[in-house]
Amino acid sequence: MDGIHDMGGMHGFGRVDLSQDEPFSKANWRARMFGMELSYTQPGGFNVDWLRHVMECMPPALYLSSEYYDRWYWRDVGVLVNAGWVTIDELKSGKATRRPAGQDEPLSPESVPMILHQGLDNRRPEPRAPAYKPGDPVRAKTHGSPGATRLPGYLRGHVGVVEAYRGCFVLPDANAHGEERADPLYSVRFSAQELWGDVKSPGDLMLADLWESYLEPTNAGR
Amino acid sequence: MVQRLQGGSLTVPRDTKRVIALQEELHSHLPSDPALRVKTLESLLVEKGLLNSETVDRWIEVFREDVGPKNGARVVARAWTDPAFKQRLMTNASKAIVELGYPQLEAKNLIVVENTTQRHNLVVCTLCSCYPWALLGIPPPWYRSFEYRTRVVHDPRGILEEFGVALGDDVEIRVWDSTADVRYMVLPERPDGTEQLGEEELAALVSRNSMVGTAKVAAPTRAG
Repeated sequence: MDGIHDMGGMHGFGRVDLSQDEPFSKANWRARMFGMELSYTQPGGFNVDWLRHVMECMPPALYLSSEYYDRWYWRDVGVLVNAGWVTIDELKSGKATRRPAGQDEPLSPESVPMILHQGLDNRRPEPRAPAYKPGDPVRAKTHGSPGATRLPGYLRGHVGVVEAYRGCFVLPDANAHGEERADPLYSVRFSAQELWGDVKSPGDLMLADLWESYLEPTNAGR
Repeated sequence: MVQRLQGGSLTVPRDTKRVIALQEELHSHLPSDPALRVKTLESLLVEKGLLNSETVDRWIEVFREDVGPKNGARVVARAWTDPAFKQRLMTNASKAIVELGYPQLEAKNLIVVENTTQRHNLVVCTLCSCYPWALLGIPPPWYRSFEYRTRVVHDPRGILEEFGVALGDDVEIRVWDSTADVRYMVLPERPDGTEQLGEEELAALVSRNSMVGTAKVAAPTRAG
């Protein structure tokens, strides 16, 4: 989705503000939003690609004007209301009118160390050999999927070189919409010259992790 | 597009247009103060049996006390002092950090990239804010800022100057955009004049920003 979140390379943003620090305590809403996100029972199970996509669907002006953990709020209430587990009236009043049926107990504090140590992994056993190898030139496709994708707009249509093969990972474009499918993943490097043309340091390199379905051979149909 | 998910009878619609409309609606009906909304959401989820507030507390404690850049700094110091560890770190970083007892949340597929006199790596997530939590903690506000996310891929040298890092034209810059489940950490250059320091003293020199690539590690200042 060509959304507001896909901002790499946009112009018009000023200096990075290095003075900001933010409070992170049990009494602070930002920290609570962070902890809640890792703790609540998610409809249909935890699906990072769906979570990201729901945030990408925020009204663009709201995305730009909301602070970081507030975007998490809008994402999570989007996930919950979309699944029918929470209503807008309940979010206004804070009073539950009904409980989602058949759910297990919510995540306990005792489970936290285990999740922290094991982490979550979207890597899958390899279903097939990767089509490209390090050193191969590849072009990022120009596809403009209206749904979830992790191919940034600033790379589309540009030619890069495969830097490394990273293994097979769940493809966000399918997974976000409910279908789990693994696809080979590569780090691909692009030169500043290729991406931006007239730049002061054309030899600088940008590398991104791109799934095989985002790539095509450089001689494909052009 | 309605998908039945494995392991339950729950059916969740996962449709972009539907969620865009829903997000508009949510925004127009809910109060503007985020602190109020977040508080209301927490009590609502607890009442619905979907959340345990003590679990929220536990996560906050963990990220305040146990997980943060001190983990990454220790990894860097070990790599500087133990060549065999460094080799394992560069080959399979996720495995190497487990050796040191560090967790793997958001570092399950970790790649460490090394800064040298000839090459400077820096890390971004242009699409959201992906970051190796287990080693560096929660990303700082500048990392998540629109300014950093938009500009670092087309003007990395300009960004580095704002952070006080000036690089010669002969230094190759590599900007890693964390677009997938791979997480990146920079192994900064070990500063000159630190040959006599032990692992713990070295770790104390390593800043968070140096492990994202927006700072160099400064040599210790000699007191007296």
